[in-house]
Amino acid sequence: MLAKTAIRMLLHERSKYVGVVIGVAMALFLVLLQSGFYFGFRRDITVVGDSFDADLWISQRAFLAFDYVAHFDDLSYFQALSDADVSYAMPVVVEWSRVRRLPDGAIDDGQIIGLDLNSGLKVDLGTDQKLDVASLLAVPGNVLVDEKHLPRLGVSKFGETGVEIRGLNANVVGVMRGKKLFSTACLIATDLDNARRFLGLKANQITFVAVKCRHRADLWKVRSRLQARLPEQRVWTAKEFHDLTQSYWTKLTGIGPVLSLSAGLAALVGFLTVLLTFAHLTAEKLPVYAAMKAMGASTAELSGIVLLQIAVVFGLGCLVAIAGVLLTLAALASTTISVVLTPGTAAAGVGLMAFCSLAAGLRALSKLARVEPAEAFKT
Amino acid sequence: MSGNGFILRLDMVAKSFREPTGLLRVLDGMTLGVRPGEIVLVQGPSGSGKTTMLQIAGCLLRADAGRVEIQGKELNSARDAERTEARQRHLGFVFQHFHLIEALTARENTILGLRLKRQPLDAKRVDEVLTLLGMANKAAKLPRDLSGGEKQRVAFARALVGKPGLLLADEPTSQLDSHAAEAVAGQIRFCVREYGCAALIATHDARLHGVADRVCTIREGRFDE
Repeated sequence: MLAKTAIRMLLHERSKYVGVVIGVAMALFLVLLQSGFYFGFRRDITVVGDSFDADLWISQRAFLAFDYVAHFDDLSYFQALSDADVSYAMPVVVEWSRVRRLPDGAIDDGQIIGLDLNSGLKVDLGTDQKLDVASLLAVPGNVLVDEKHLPRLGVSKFGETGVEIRGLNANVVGVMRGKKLFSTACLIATDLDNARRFLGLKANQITFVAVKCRHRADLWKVRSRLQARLPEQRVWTAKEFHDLTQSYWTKLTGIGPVLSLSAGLAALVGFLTVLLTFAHLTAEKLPVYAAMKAMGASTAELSGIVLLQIAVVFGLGCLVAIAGVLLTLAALASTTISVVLTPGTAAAGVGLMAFCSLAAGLRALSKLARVEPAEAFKT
Repeated sequence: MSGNGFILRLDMVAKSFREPTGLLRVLDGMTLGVRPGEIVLVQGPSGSGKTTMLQIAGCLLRADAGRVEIQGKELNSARDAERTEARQRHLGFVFQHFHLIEALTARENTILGLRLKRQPLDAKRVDEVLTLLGMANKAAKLPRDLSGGEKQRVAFARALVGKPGLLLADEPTSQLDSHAAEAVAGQIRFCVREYGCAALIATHDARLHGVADRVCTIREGRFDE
């Protein structure tokens, strides 16, 4: 009966509660979306490095992030490969370059990555499983591009000259899915030799060496050995390499605090909406609650009424927010805006708003706890 | 019922309130007994302590001194849980402003009265009370669709459905016009007879004198019967 009473009271004054539902929905929508943008940005920062099944990375000695590179001699690649605990090593070339799109000659930015796909070290380029990427990219001028940049590059057909990199024609022969960079530049992957040709590098110049160690090898020992052998380079574990680039960009751009602040403000709006509405509506009904107490209702029962109402309002707000987020994700799917929203992140966002709603309801609950049944005879 | 035959007994009850101007003594050694089937009207000017007396009699407020017995059990010094249980088992309340739940129909408000008394839903009993009070045909109406007199009848139905031994009513006719007040007066008499309960009614309304077995006037914190 009390649950029914709670729901009926809610429905009876639905126009007053609609505002709270919208407040909770907007707050949760923004919390989820801001989190999605943040994690999308973080993923995109290291999307290239994370695509390699590498245990160690070798870079130039002084190194800020994956995107700021200097090239060095490939001797380090052979030295890495000669270690007894190294299974595979892949020389990698990375460099920014201007890209001219052929339909109209417009200039765009690209990050060229050259790979030795026959090295044995696995790289997930997000290509079609059936595609023989190694053979395809071995052909001079052949490249893969990020799927989401295809329309922007003006490429309408695979296999034909699509773009021009530093005056050299590049044939787009396929696309990579889920490999969008965090910047506006397009990721362009190709064979090591093709990359050197596009970038004007010498035949022995490389940017990184990705290293795969033998099963059960002690990574730290291998890392120490390689570092001792390569004093002009820096050897990183894959996690160090990942964290360095991620923390460099997140700190430099300040995107973490900015998006956290937006999400925090959204949560605060939701909190205040629930707090003010429920505190006001509970205060409005205090004489009725006092009368119910006089007739025998306990504080716990009255609190149950308000908590159930908060739960229903929160649940409806969640449904609206999740529907909004799903629609937004669908709308953003074809754009270059990345949103990464895992079930865990969504659950954390919903949990945060549930906590905010519950905390906001405490004021209403404290009013209920304090109301004296004797008040029913006065008001 | 207790040995002395009272369903309610107030014995030398005193109550003061701290006011900015000093201690305000509202009840000063008040004594009153109400027997089953009896209708007792309490009158007095505003601020004389009628409501305070009802609050103390209803175990909603503790007296500073004196005894409050319901069915022979002293409850002024009892634990909160015992006082709540006494309210659930023995008392029915009718408030001046009704305090009906606007979202519930007349029937549902009456059922809530049973639920709050921890009594199982007895649909027959609910319908019977509503019929006795002439509200059977308006049982499905929300309070906003009822007149003041009808709301008062629903408030009586809610109070009576749990078969209380004592009905406590605060200014039950103050919100009603003459016609409705007369109807309510008749219904109080009818219900008390029908259900065998007693009623203690605080009122200014002389129209209720006709239904009372006794009229007590509060003067200087005591009864002047």
